[in-house]
Amino acid sequence: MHELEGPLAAMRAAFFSGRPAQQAAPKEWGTFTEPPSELALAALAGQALEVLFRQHPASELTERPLLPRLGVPTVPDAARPLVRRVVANLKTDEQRRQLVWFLLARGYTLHPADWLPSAKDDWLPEAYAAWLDWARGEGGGAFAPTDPLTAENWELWLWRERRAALTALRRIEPAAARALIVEKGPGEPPDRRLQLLTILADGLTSEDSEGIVPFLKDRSPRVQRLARRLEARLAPAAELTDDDRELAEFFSLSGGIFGKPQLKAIALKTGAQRERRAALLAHVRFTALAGALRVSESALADAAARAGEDVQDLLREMLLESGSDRGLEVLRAWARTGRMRGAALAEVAVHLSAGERLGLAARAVQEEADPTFETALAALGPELGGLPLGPTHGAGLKAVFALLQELPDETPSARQFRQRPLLAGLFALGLLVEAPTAKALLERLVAAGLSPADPSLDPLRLNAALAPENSQ
Amino acid sequence: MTLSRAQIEAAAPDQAALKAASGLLKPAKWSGLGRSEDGHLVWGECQGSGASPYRVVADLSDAGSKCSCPSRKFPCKHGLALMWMAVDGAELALQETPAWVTEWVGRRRKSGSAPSVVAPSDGRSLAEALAEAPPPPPDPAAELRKAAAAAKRAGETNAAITAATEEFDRWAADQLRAGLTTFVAEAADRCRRIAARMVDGKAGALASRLDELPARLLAIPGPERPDAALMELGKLALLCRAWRATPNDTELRREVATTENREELLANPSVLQCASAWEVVAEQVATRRDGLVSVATWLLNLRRDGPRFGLLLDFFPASAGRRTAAFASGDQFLATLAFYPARAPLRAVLAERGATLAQPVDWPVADEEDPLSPACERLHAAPWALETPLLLPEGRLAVDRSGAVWWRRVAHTLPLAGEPPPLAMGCILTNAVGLWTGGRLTLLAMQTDWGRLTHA
Repeated sequence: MHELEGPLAAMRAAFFSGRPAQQAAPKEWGTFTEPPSELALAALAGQALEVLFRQHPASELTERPLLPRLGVPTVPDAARPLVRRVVANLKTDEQRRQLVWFLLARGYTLHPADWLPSAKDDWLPEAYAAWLDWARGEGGGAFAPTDPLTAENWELWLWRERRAALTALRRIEPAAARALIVEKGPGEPPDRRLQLLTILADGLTSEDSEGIVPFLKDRSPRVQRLARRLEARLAPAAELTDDDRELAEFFSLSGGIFGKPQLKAIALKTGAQRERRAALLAHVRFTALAGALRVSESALADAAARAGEDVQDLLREMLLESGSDRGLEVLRAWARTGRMRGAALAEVAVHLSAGERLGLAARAVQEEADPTFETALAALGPELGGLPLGPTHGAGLKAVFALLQELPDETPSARQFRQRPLLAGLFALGLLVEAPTAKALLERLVAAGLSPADPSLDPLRLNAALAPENSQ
Repeated sequence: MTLSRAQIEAAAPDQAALKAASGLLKPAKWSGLGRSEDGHLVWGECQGSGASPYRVVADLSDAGSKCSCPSRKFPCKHGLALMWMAVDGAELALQETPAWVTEWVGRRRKSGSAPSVVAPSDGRSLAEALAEAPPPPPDPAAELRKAAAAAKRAGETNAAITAATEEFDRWAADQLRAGLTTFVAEAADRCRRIAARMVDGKAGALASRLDELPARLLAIPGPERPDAALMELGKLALLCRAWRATPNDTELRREVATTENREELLANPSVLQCASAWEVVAEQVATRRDGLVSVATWLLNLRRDGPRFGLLLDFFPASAGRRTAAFASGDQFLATLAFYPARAPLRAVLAERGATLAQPVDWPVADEEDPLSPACERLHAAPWALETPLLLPEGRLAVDRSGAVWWRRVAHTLPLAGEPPPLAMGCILTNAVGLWTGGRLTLLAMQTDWGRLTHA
């Protein structure tokens, strides 16, 4: 203990409460402060506090584990300034996802100094799993799993190892794996609950029905949706409700040519009818509708596959929500026709082959005069940066260049409004196309009037800078 | 490039701006001059009256320009000079467009295509701006009168400042009598009133420090505020006492009243000039209560000789709007810094900016003993000093049970001010630069096993 600690504590107490501090001060200090002055004592006390006494932690300090290195390299240093600028200009979480996917498609992850995931970024691809574990405060422990995975040692396993062990267990002892998923699943975050349910989907049998039940009321819509789909795969049609029968009355299923039933939507006369149908479509399950129409789920799916676009529009969400594997096939067939858009397409596209997705995206860019390329982005999902797009063709590109030409003639407020789709479009293009196309587009956009230094070209520049070696 | 001299004349706000621009046409006044591949964009850094150079960019396709100087004229003399040099064919190296230029291009609202018809210049002329005005004839009697008036003013100013410091002492003693717990609760009102009195007493620097005191107290945890108030009032009392003892001391005048300007500083032959390789550690921008924006650029000396750190301090009116940063964190370049005379030199101006370092240079080795010894030495030399930059050796960040973050190396622990970047919690800080202020460490930049991190 420092000899000044006691006197200083008494002086501080006096200064804080407004009492004279002179009596508490060390005697020698009186000789420094002639004439005696409270202010001079305060100056001495302040200096002593700052120089002689330092704060110490009140409790033991703990260090977080070191951030693990990922299996995929981070973006090369030369491209990092460009990445930082693109990250700084991201407008939506969706754009952030697309950037992560694009970089991964080119063989890179973001540098953690430029962006580090938080615990809630459960959408991240597997390559980032170690960082996600770190952000959630997991990993880095000394536990080496030698015993089998059990409910008791569940928390000690790293998530990746836990999932691998569970997948293996599901193949050897499906009931034990199911029991673990049911017991420990609800305590996991949404992305993990989804993955646990996916493990359950492997080798699904009627014995798993009870295991699915807790997930039908999950907090996450994605988990709920998968649970309903699994349930639809397993469950025979449950007892029909009045709503199921009422919804069936909005459709007609009649014999068609070659004995194949034709599914049609009944023409409605009032807005109230349309509202009621929409409300029923939102919660009736596909199997229940099949039951109400007195056909099997598979037969209704076959009929839906042949139905007109109006029926497709009505049943798409329902199939996504509660369709079985056959329903998913129907959705895939619809997606291949190129009529599906947005979130629905993104959800179905993951079940298409890479070639099919690329074809859909190329067709969307070619045919849709949408400068933001939403359909192409939805179709490609995580496999960005590989669209072999002719830089001078396509309705989407024409829409971008049309916006670019119109901007200088607009009033400032209109220009700002019109700039949004242009910026979104340039961002999308930057992530969609192959590196040689990105280079060609850069030249063309500069020739069309954009400054070469314009930051809206950064995604295209990044694309060109991260060209895969074989495209150089 | 489509710009003509007539367009520059038309764009100039007045003849005075052109005249001032003509004085900046020498390439020696500039550094980092460059142009884009298409020839439309030109940029450079021009040393003005501040501590850091101004960053200037111009778009020659429509005579648009932007400068980081605080001038209210648009375009300012720096923008005009840059365009003028470009039009006259000055050597502008073809370079990759820097990030700060790209940022300007992105923010900029173009007024459409460049006007095809040049507006009349209303008598503004580049040729006239270049013409030398004859110097006024010398008048020895007038010079004497001027010197006598200046001496009289200086005497009056010193008397006013002395009175102000005495008034501060009385006020500070009152605060102690009322109790510092009460002072902390009412610091905003009390400090504003005494700061106004200090302004009246020509103690401008003292006024600013008092004006900012409530904000500094608010930035630290509540239980530590009375101690912080005690330390700060004590430091200011020491400063006032030192001023009264030696009112002609330039450092004390700077701390209490006003800072000498760049020209006065560079004209002083005894000023410490340090030519070295420097790294921009961080730039701290803060809006002050007096309506000024302070920009503090912290430079780390990458060589052994001279002061370890340099601080470039500039002030701009907040009403001047967003300003392009003069440097990017991590920039390494050769430069000569002229340090303001002080017991522990820290504040400086950039006397000469040299080339950017071709190869990155490692930070100097940090002292592995007590990490706070530079702060103690600084307080010993200048007990009124508010903050000390520290170069810390290898360490890690750790948290205590309450969640507070500490920098730690073996037996040494320093409490952190604010939240560090998330990555800093999961990496080894092989070196760190922080600002030690009132018992807490503000991390500015770190060298880590993941590379360089900036946090300011």
